[in-house]
This record gives sequence, C-alpha cells and structure tokens, in this order.
Amino acid sequence: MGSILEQVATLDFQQQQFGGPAQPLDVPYLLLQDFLGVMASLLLVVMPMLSMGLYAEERKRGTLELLATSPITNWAVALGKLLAAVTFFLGMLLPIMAYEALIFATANPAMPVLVFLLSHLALVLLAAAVLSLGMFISSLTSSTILAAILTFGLALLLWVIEAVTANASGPLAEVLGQLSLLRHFKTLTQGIVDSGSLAIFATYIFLGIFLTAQSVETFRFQRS
Amino acid sequence: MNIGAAIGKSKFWRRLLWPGIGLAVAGLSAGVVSGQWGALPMVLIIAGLALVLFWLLLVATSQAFWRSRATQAGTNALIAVTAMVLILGLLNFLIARYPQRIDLTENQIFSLAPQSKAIVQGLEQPVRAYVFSPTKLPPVENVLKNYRELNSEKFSYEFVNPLQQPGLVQELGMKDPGDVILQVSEPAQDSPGSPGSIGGDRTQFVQNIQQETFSESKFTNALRRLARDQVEQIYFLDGHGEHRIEELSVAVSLLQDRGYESQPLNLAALLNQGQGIPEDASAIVVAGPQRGLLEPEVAALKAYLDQGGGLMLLIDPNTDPKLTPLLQEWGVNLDDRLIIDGSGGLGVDATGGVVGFGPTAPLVSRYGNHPITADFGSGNSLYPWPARSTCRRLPGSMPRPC
Repeated sequence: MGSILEQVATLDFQQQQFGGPAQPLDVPYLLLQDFLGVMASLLLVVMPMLSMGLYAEERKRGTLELLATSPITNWAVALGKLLAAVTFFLGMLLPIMAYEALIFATANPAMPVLVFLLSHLALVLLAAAVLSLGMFISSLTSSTILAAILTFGLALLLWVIEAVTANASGPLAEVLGQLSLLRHFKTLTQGIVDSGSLAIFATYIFLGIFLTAQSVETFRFQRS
Repeated sequence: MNIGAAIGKSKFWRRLLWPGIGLAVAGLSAGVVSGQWGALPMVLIIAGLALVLFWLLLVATSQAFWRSRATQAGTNALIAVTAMVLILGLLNFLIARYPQRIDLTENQIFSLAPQSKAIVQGLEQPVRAYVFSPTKLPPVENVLKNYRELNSEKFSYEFVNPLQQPGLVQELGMKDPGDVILQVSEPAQDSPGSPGSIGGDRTQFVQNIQQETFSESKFTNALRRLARDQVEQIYFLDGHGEHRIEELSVAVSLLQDRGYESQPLNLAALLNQGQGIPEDASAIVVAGPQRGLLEPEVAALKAYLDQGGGLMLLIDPNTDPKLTPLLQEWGVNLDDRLIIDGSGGLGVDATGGVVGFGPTAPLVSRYGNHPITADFGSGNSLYPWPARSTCRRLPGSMPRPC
C-alpha cells in the first residue's frame, strides 16, 4: 500500500517537473497485484505445512502399507489427498476473497471481474503446484519436519530461479526462467491468460501426483 | 552370514551414491555458471562419475541385488519417471514456443496496439532493439517480447549493460544509461555512406527509459521511421540573407550522423509555384534572416507549426524578420537590442574573456527548467551576437514556450 502511494507521489512530482499530461495509475489493479504478491510469499511457508503430513504421517504410523495395498490405485489416493489439501486451502482463501471483493467493489471505475478471478485462480494453481510437489516429498520420508523443510526449499528454488536467470540470456536461461513459478504466477495475476503459464502449473501438479504414485509403488516392494 | 554382509555392504555403498551425484552436479553447475570447462569442473564431474560407477559395479556384483523385486520396481519407476519428465518437458516446450494469450485487462495493457502489430509484422529488414540498462526491466521486456512474438525473424531485442559492453555503447551512440536504440541491418548492396550509417547499419534513438516510462507509441514510431527507410528532413530557410547550409557545415554533418538530412528551402519560390512547406519536413531552421519574411511565408510557417511541426529561429539583433504575428501567438517578444556579457570572469576585456570571443558571445551554463534544454545539464554553450527576447506564458497556451 505504501509503495502505491509512493508511486503516485513520484508520478505527480515528475509531471510537475517535466510537464506533459498526467499519467494515469490504476490503483485497484496495483493493489491487487501487491496483495497477491504478499499472499504468494506466504503460501511458500504455509503450503509445505499443509503437505508435510500427507504421506509422512502415514509412514510414521505404519498405515502406508494399508494405503499401498488398498484396492484403490495409488493415483486415486494421491489425487484425493491433493484435492483435500487444496480444498483446505480454498477454505482459507474464500473469506479473504470476500474481504477483497468488498474493497474492490468500491473502486471507481469498476475493476474487471475476470482479472480478479483469474488472479485468484493463479493463486490456487500456485498453491496446488506447491502442495503437489510437497506431497511427493512427503511420501519419501517419515519425518514431517524434514518433508516441510525440503518442500519449502524446493518451492523456494522454483520461486527464485527467475532472479538467478534475470540478467542472463541464452537458451539455458530461457529454459530455467520458464521453470520459475514466480514468473508464471505474475503473468496470470496481471490478467493475461497465457497457455504456457497454465501448462507449467498443470505440469507441476501432474508431476507431483505422478511421482507420488511412483514413490508409493516402489515402497510396496522395498520391504521384500 | 553371507547375505548379512552383502546387505551391510550395499547399505554402505548406497550412501556413497549421493556424494557422487552431488560432486557431478557441482561440477556441471560450476562449468555452466563460469562458462569455462577448466580443470575444476572437469575434476569434480569425473570424480562424481567415478563414485557412481564404483557404486554401480559393487551393487551389480552382489547377486541379491538382481534378484530382489525392489530393484525391478525401482528400475520401472526410474524409467517411467524419466519418460514422463521428458514428455512433459517436450509438451511444455511446444506450448511455450507457440503461446496463446488472452489479455483480460480492460485496456489491453499487455497487448500491442493494432498499429504496432502491423508495423512489426511488416518489417522487411531485421531490426534489433538495444536497451542500455544494467538490469532487465520486466515491464519493458514484456512489451518487447510481444513485438518479438509477432515477427521473431525480423525483430529481436537485447538488454545491454553499458559498463560491460563499451564497444556497443560507442557503436550505437548511447548517450545515457537507459537509452533504447534500434538498429536495422541494411542489405549489402546499400551504399555504406548513407545517412546515419554505421558500417551499413542504420540506428534510431527511441527514448530514455530512465527519464520517462517506456512508451509503446514512441517505440512503434521509431520502428516505422526505420522501416520506411525514410531519413528525416530538416529544411533551412533561404531567401532572406540567412546563413546558408554550406556555412553551417558542422551542424549539418552532426545532424547527418543522427539520421537527419539537411536541405535549403526557398519558401517564397515554393509558394509562388503553388506549393507549401514539404510534407516530409521534420523541422525548419531559420538561421539569422537579414530581411523580413513575406507575409505568406509567415502564414505558411504558422500553419506548419499548428500541424505539429518544429521551428528553430536564430534571430540576430538589429534585424526585423517580421515574425511578430507568429511569435505573439506563442507569447514570445523579440527585442532588437544586443546582449553583452559583462559578468564575472568572462568580463569585457581586450583578450575576449575565457573563450576569446569577446563580450558579445556570452557563455551560458544554466538553462532554467524547460523540456528543450532538459538534456543540456550544465554543459557550456556560446551564443555569438545574441538578441534579447522576452516571453510570457499565455493563459491557455498549449505547451510551454518559456
């Protein structure tokens, strides 16, 4: 919020100094982006906590054997666990969205509803991607704390990988930058439906479920 | 007993696998980051690979390893994961290569205007945009990316750190950090001496993004100018005892370096033939007329200014260029007295002051606050035979005359 006021002040100062027409500034839009940026950083910490117990707890209690040998496929179990975690996250997000809607309803001219919805869809996708990868990591260990820390580390890596490649150029930087969660999250929150960004999120979510299923599958035979 | 020993062994060597992988990754990243595959990365990679191979050999020689179902399941999982990662990577590569975008923002702020699209798609020669900035600026890069997506064969861009590439700075004529400069590569048959040429390439300054925000319209206009292959024309008015182009050769050649062509313009003769100021005139310079301009000429200049043209007036003292009706509209009043600089160290003395041109060529290093002089900074400039002019801001006048 403070940064937006600063921006307005700078623009006003520039206009007085150099003349020219006043530059428009879309404050609700900037507010939404700033807010979602903060929310996304919080997700980095909160999501590993949601995902850490998904499989690690089962391992610890010895109930993973039951799950692994149950008549339902590993895929279905993993998908169910992920959906449960995402639903929990949605439960946390919805009241906040209601508050946001109250604020943005006072914006004049009105804020486009589609941008609002798309940016929150991006938030849910981001959460689901981190949860999915976290679920896989959780299935590797029986220590919940270790799972949380590793998930946080992985999410942080995928988060800052863009900063590493920001000033580099070349195909390698392009590929690494494409892996960055932050970049695609930003694209979507800006109100651009980009097929590449949606595909990356879908890939992370799918990869998480797939790896979890594989990991549980190999677990079945490890004790032989 | 035997089996127990084998398990103990395999547990030990299984732990040895990870340092091997770690060393190999460290070597790879050291090589990639530094860009040189010297001794250190190679030693790390070889050591890592050796550890992994050693582990493989030891594990493979134990009979229990091959018989266990865990090995089978693990191998299956490994192959499945590798295949899946490959498939997903390829899919993402294809999608990223041919992106589909829908801009949901109200003003389509992340999409290019139709004019920009038309121009970048119609480019005939490869154009490269250089942004002189030590860091990548995501908003600017996003716009440039949009341009590139439309015509990736003819348009490319690059962020250049001016401190790291001084050669490029000189070649493209960067003045300040933050400059955006376009360069078009001419086909080989073009004459190398064409205006604004640097080894057959033409450059076009767009804007400085540190002083103002990046503007798509400015960028597109610059692209259009380059694409049209049109050199900007500056006309020097003729016919009233003005300084002729030949007398201003230094200015003319400097302008030519920046991509402007200078030509004389006898406005009265053109008006006589029923023509007006040429349409390609970017600016008109009136350099020290000794006789008054004719009324139709003043009217033509006025009309030209109203269309957004540029006019530079260099008026000597004690002359009457008869431009009052034009100047009054802008709130400028000419005064035919001569300015004499009798101040400070540049004072009136026989040697002519610091510069040696005498008191009638005052040295100026402060320019007040005006867009035209904003780039001057505190540079020195000399004005021989300056006349005095006063100006006042007219109520409701469009730009700022003074």
